[in-house]
Amino acid sequence: MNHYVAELSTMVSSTTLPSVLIIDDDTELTEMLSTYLHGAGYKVNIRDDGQAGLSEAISGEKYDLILLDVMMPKLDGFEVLKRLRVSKTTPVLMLTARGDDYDRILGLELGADDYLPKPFNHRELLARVKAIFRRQAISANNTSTEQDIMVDDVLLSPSRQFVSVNGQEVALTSSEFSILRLLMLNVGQRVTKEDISQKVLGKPLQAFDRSIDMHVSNLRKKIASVNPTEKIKTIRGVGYMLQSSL
Amino acid sequence: MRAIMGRLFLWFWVTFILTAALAVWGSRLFFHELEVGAASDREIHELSKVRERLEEPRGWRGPLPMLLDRSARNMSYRVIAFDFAEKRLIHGPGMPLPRGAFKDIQGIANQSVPLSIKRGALSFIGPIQYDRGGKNYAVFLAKFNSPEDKYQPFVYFFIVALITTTLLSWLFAKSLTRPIIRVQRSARSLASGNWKERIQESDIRNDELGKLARDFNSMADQLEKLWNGQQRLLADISHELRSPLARLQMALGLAHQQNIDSATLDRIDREAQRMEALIKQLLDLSRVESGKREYQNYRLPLLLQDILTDAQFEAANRNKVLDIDEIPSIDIQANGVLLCRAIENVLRNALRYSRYQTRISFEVTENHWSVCIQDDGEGLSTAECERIFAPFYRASLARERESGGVGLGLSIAKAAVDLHDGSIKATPNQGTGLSVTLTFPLGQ
Repeated sequence: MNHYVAELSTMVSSTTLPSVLIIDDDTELTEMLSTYLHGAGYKVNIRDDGQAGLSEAISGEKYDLILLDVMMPKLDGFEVLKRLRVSKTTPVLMLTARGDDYDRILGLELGADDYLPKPFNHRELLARVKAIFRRQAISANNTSTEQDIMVDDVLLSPSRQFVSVNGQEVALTSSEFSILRLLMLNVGQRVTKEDISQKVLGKPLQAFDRSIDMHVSNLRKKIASVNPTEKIKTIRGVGYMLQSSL
Repeated sequence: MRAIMGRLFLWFWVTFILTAALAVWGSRLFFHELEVGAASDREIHELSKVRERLEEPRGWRGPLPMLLDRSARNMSYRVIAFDFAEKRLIHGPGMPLPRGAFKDIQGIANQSVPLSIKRGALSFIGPIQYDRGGKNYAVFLAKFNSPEDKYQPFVYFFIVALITTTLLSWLFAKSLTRPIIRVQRSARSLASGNWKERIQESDIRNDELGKLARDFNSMADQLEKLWNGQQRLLADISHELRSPLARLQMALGLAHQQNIDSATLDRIDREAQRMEALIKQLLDLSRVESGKREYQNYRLPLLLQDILTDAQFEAANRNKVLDIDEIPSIDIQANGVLLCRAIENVLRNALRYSRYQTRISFEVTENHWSVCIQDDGEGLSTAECERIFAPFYRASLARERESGGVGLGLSIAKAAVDLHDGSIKATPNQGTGLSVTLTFPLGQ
C-alpha cells in the first residue's frame, strides 16, 4: 500500500499538467510566452525579477521547469541559478543573450540544463521544453522498473535521481544525469552524439552546436572532483563511451 | 617654430666657418716649413750662366727689371734681385711674388755660398752678388715647383674639407630623419589597424618634429576613440534589437497557435529569422573586431578537431563530400575561439556553394602556416574575389537568399584573421570553383 502511494506521488507531476516558472523582466514577452505555453498545455507562473523568481522557485509550488532570463535587475540569472542549485534540482532552461558564448557556457557550468539565446524561434523553445519534460517523464516512469546502475565506483539511481561516486554524492543537472545514464547503460560501447541529442535533448543533432560537449565536459569535471581517473572517453567524430576497469 | 630653421642655418654656417678655419689653419701648417739646402751643381751652373748674361751687355742703359728678364730667357727660372739699399725685390713683369718670399730672400741675401731654399711652391737659388749703377744687389733664381707640389696643399684642403663637411652634414641629416622615420613608422602601424600605436614621450624632442610627434599621438587618440565608439554602437544596436525581435517571434508563435493565415505567417517567420541571423552575425563581427590579442598555445590538429568533424557532418547532410588532408602536427599561438570561427565560416561557405566536393589542405613554411579550402562550385571572378570579404557583399543576391547566408561570414573570418596578423585571400580555381587561403605567422 505504501509502495503504491509512493509511486503515485512521484508520478504526480507527469500526470497533471507540467508547471513552468518564467523568471524574466520583459513583461510584454513573458505575457505572450505565458499564453503560448498555456496553449501548449502547461501551467505557467511569472515573476519579473530575479529576487522574486528565486523565492518562488525555492519556496513556492513544485515546478517542472524554470525559464530563466540572464539579464535582470536586482539579481541576474546566474546568481539565481547558483542559489537555486544549492537546494533544488529543478530543470532550468536559460534564455541567454544572442551571440555570447560566455553566457551559455557559464550557464551550463552553473547547472542549467539547456540554454536558448534570445531572440528564439517559438518552435525551438517548445521543442526544448518538451524534451526536458520527456526526460522527466522517462525518469519518473522508470522509478518502478529501473534498477540502480553501478559501473566501477559510480552509482546511478534513476528512482532517486541520485548519483554518487565512491560513496560521495554528486549533484548533476537533469541533462547530465540522463547523459550519464545513457553512457552507463551502454558501458564499453560507443554512444553517438546523435543518440545523445535525440534521447537526452529531444532534438536532432545540429552541426556546430557545442552544448552536448559542454554537458559531457561538466559531467567529467563533477566526477573528477571525487575520482580523477578518466571514465568518459571521447571518440573523435562519433561520440562518447564510458570505460570500465573490468 | 624657429627651432629647426635656426638649427639648420646654424649648422650650415658652422660647417662652413669650420671648414674655412681648418683650411686656413691647414695652409699655415703647410707653408710654414722652409727648406734650406746647398745649391746643387746644376743650380750653381745655372747661376753662373745668369751672372754672365747680366754682365755681358756693357753700356746697357735699360731698366734693371728688363735686364733681369732678358737674362732669364730660355730658362725655366725667373731672375729676381734684392736691392740692399732700398731693401726691396726687383723682378721683371710676371706673377708677383708672395709676401713671405721677401723675408726669406732677405734672410739669405748676405750668404757667400749659393743656397737653394724652398718654401711651399717657391724655390729660390742664390745669392750671387751683382753691382750695377753703383748699387749692390743679390740676385736669385726663382722657380715655382712642379705642379704636383703646387697643387698638393689644395688637394690636402679639399680632402679635409670634404671629410668635415660630409661628417657634419651626415650627422645633422641623421638627426633630422630619425624622428621623421619614427613618425612614418607609427603612422603605418596605425593605418594597419593598430589603434594603440603611439610615439613614446621619451623619444619626443622640443622642436617642430617633436610637436609633430605629439600631434600624431593626439590624432591617434581621436582615431582610437572613434573606432571604439563605432564598435560600441554596433554592439549596442544589435543588443537593442534583440528584445523587440524576441517579442516579435513570440507574437508569431501565438499567431501560429491561433491558426491565423499560415502562409503569411510563414513569410513573417522567415523575415524574423533573417533578422535574427543578421543580428547574431553583427554581434559576432563586432566582437571579433574588438577582440583582444590574447593568445594561447594549441596543437593544431586538436584545435581543429571539432569543427572539422562538424563540417563533415554538415557535408553529409548536404549530400556533398569534404576531403580533409592531414593536419600538420604543429604548435601555434592563437585565439582558439576566433581562429576556429574563421575557418568554420570559410568551410561552411565552401560547403554551401560547392557542387559536390570540398577539400581542405594545409601548408607549413618556416615562418607561416596556412590552410586552403577549395570547392568545386561556380567560383568567382578575380574582381569579386577582392570584394567578398567586405561586409554584406554578395556575388549574387538571389543565390544568397536561397542558401540562407547573410553576408557577414567572410567579414567575420577576415576580422579574426587580421587579429592574428594573418592574411586571407580568395582565388578562382584552375577548373571551377573557389580557393580560399588563410595564412598565419608562426611564432611570436
